[in-house]
Amino acid sequence: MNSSVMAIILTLCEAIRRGTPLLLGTTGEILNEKSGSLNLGVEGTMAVGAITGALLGLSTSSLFLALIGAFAGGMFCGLIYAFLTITLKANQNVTGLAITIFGGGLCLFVGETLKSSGKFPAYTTEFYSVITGGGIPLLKDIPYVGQLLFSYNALVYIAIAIAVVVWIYISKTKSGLRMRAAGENPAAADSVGINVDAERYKNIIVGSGIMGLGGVYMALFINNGLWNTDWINGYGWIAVALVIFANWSSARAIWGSYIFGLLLALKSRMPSLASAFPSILSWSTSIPTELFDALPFIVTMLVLIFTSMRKHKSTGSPAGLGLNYFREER
Amino acid sequence: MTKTNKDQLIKISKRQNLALKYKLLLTLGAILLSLVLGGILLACLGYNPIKFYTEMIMGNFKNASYVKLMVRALIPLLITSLGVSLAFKMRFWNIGGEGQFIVGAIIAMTFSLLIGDSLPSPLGAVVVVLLGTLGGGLYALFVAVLKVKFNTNETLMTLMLNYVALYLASYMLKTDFFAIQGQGVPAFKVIAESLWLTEINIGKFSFDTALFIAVALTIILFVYFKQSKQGYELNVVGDSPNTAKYAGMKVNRIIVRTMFLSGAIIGMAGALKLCGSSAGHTFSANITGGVGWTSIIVAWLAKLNPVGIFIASLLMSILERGCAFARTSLGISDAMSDVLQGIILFTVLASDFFINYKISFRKKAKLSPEVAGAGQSGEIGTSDDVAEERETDGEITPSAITETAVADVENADRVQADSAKESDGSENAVTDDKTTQENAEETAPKDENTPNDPVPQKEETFSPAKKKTAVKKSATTKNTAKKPTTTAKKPATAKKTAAKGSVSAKKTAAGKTAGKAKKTSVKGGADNE
Repeated sequence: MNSSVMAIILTLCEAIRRGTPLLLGTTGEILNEKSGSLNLGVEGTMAVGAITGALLGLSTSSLFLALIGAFAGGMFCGLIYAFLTITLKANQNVTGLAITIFGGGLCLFVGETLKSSGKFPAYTTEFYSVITGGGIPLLKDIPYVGQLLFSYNALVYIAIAIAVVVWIYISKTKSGLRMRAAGENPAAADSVGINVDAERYKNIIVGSGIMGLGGVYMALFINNGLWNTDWINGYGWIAVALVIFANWSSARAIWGSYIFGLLLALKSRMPSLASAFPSILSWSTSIPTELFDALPFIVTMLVLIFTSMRKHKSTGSPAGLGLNYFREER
Repeated sequence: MTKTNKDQLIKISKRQNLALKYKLLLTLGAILLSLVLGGILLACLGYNPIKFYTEMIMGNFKNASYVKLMVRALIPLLITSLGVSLAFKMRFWNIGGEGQFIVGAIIAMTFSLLIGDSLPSPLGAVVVVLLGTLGGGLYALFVAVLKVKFNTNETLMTLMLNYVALYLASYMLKTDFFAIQGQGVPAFKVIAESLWLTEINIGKFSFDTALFIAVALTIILFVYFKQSKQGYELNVVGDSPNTAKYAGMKVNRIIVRTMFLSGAIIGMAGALKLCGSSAGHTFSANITGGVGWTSIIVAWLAKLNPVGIFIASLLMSILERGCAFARTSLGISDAMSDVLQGIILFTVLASDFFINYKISFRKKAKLSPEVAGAGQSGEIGTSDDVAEERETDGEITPSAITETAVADVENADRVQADSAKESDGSENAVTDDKTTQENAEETAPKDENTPNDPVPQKEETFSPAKKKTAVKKSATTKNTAKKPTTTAKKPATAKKTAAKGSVSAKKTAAGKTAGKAKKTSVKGGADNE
C-alpha cells in the first residue's frame, strides 16, 4: 500500500516538475497572443533562454543569475520578433518560425561549440544541490502532502506565481484591459488613445522573457544542466497548443500544464507505476516507449481537434490575433 | 514604435509596386547583411569569420565530389520546398515537412523491404517512390480534412505530426522489420539493389536521377502556378477565401487537393532520398536532415516562386554543406547553418518591409489645429501636442491644402457611396475586400484594388504573377471596378491642385475616412514620389 501511494505521489511530482516549463511557455505565449501576436517562436525562445540562462547559472553557480540570463535571452528573442512583426510588419507566422529555427540553432551552436572545446561549464556541487534539491523547509517533511506540494525547486513556485500575476494583470487591471484591447481590436484601441504598438512590444518582450525562464528550467531541472542536443524537445510547441487548451487564461494554464506534464512524466514513471499496480497496469510494459514519447503530441492533436469541433462562443481567443496592425490601413 | 503620436517625422505608406531588380537587390542585400551578422557572431566566439566563409566555399566547390555532395543535399531540400510552397501559396501553414518526409520514407522503406528484388530495376524504384509519395500525401490530407471540416489549426497539427512521425521512425528502427537487432547497435537494413536510383554522368560529374526529377518538378510547378486553372485558384484562395467563394470556387476541395499534393511531393522527397545514394539506401531517424524546417526558409526566401525556390535551395545547400565542411576543418559546430538560416530569414523579412512599404521623411511640418481636431478617429494627441501644433500653425501648412483635401475626400466619399450602390456586384466586392484585409497576413498591397480606388487603371499594367490580387479583382468584379475608375478621376485630378500633397497621400486619402485623409494629405507634404 505504502509503496503504491508513493508511486502515485512520485508520478504526480514528476508531472508538476515537467508541467512547469509548459506553464512558463504557455503564460508567456498568452501574453503574446492576448496582445494580438501569434508568436510561433516559443520553441526557439525557450532554447535561447535555456542556453543563456544555463551558461550564466552554471558558470556562476547562481540560480538567480540563471533566471536573469534566461529572462534576458527570452527578451532578446521577443525583441527580434516584436521589431520584425510590429515595426517592420513582417508575417507573424514566418517570423515565429524564424525565431524557432534561429533559437534552436543558436542554442545548439553555442552548446556544441562549447562542448567540443571542453569549455561547457560543469555544475559545482553546491549548485547541483540547488538544482536537485529545493523545497520549503519543514513543510516538505510532512508525509505525502509535503512531498506532493512543498518539495519542488523555486522555479516551480515562481511559475505558478507568474501565471497568477499574469492572470490578474490580464483580467483585472487597467493596463491589462488596454493590452487586451490592442489584441482584440487594434484600430478601436488606437482610436481611444492606446498606443497599440507599445502595448504589443511590451507584452511580447515580457512574455518572451517568461518563455526564456521555461527554457532554463528545461536545461537545469529537466536535463540537470547536462548538455543535450535537444534541450527543449517540443515543449515549446506543446505550450503553443496549451494556450488554446487553456482558453487564453493563464489560471487555466496552470492545471492544463500539469495534465500535459503528467503525459510527459508517464514515460519515466510508467515502469514503477506498473510494478506498484501489477494487476491493472501490467499491460503497459509491452507498450513501446516511443508511444509514451509521442503521447503528449497525440493528445495535443486530439485537444486541438476537439476544441475546434466544439464551437462555443465564449472563446478567449483575441479577435485581432495574428494580424499586424497598420494604422494607414484601417 | 517608429510612429509616435507626438511628431510623426517618419511616414510609412504602402508601396505600389517595386521594380523586380530593386526587390532582388534588397533581398541580396539582406542575405549579405545576414552573412555579416553571422560573421560578427563568429568573431564574438573567437573564430575568424573570413576563414569560415572561405572554408564554406571550399566545402562546396573544391572538386567534383564536393559538388556532388552539395547536389545530394540540394535534391531533398528542393523537392520539399516545392511541396511546402504549394501549401504556403494558399496561406496554409504546412510546417509538417519533417513529418511528411519521414512518413514518405517509412512507407517507401516498408514496401522496399516487402518487394525486395522481385521487380526489375527501374520499375521497383518507381513503385516504391510512388507509394512513398502517396504516404506523404495522405499524412498531410488528414490535416487538410480537419481544417476544412472543423477549422482545426493546421500549423500546430502539422507540427505535432512531425513529432509523431519522428517517434514512429525511431520505433520502426527498433523492430526486426527495419533493422537487424543484435548485440549493441542494431544494423539498419539496406534496400535491395534493384530499387536503387541510378546515377547519370554528365562530364566528370555524376548525379542522382532524383536531381532530374527535382528539376522537372520545379518546371512543372512553375507552369502549374502560372498557367493552370488550379494554380490560379490557389492564389485566389490564398489572398481571400471569400473572394474565391464568391467566384464560385470550391474552396474546401482546393484546400484538400493542394494539401494532398503538398504532402505528396514532400513524401516523394523522402522516398527519393531513401532510394538515392545520399542516405546510403537505408532508413534512419534523421533521414530528413532538417529539410522540413529549411524548406520553410527557402519557400519564403523565394517568395514561393519555383525558380526562386531552386536558387534559394541551392543557396541553403551550399550553406549547409559549407558549415558541415567547416565543422571538420575548423571545428565550428554545423549548427551554425541553422543560425545563419535564421538570421537570413530575419533580414529577408526585414527587407520585405522596404519592398512593401515606402518610408518618407517629413520635413518640419506640423498639423494645423482644425486638422488635429478632425483626426479624432486616429491619433489622440495630448493637450501638449495640440498646443504645440497651434503654435506652429501656418508655418508650413496652408489651410488651402486642407480645404482642398477636405473637398477631395468628400468627393471620394460620395464616389465610394455611389459606386457601392450603382452595380450589384460591387457591394460584394466591398465587403469582401474588408475580409481580405482581415485575412491579410502578408503585407502585399491590397487596398489599392478596391473598386473605389482612384487609380485602378494601373491594375491592368501589373503582371498577373506579381499582382495576383489585381487579377482576382478584375476577374471577379470586372464591371464593378470600371465604374469608379471613371468617376474617381475627378478627385484624383482635383488633388493635383493640392500643391504639395504627394501622390501616395492622395491615394490613401480617397480610400480612407475624412478625418484621416485630411491628416495624411497634409502630412505627406515632403513626400517623395
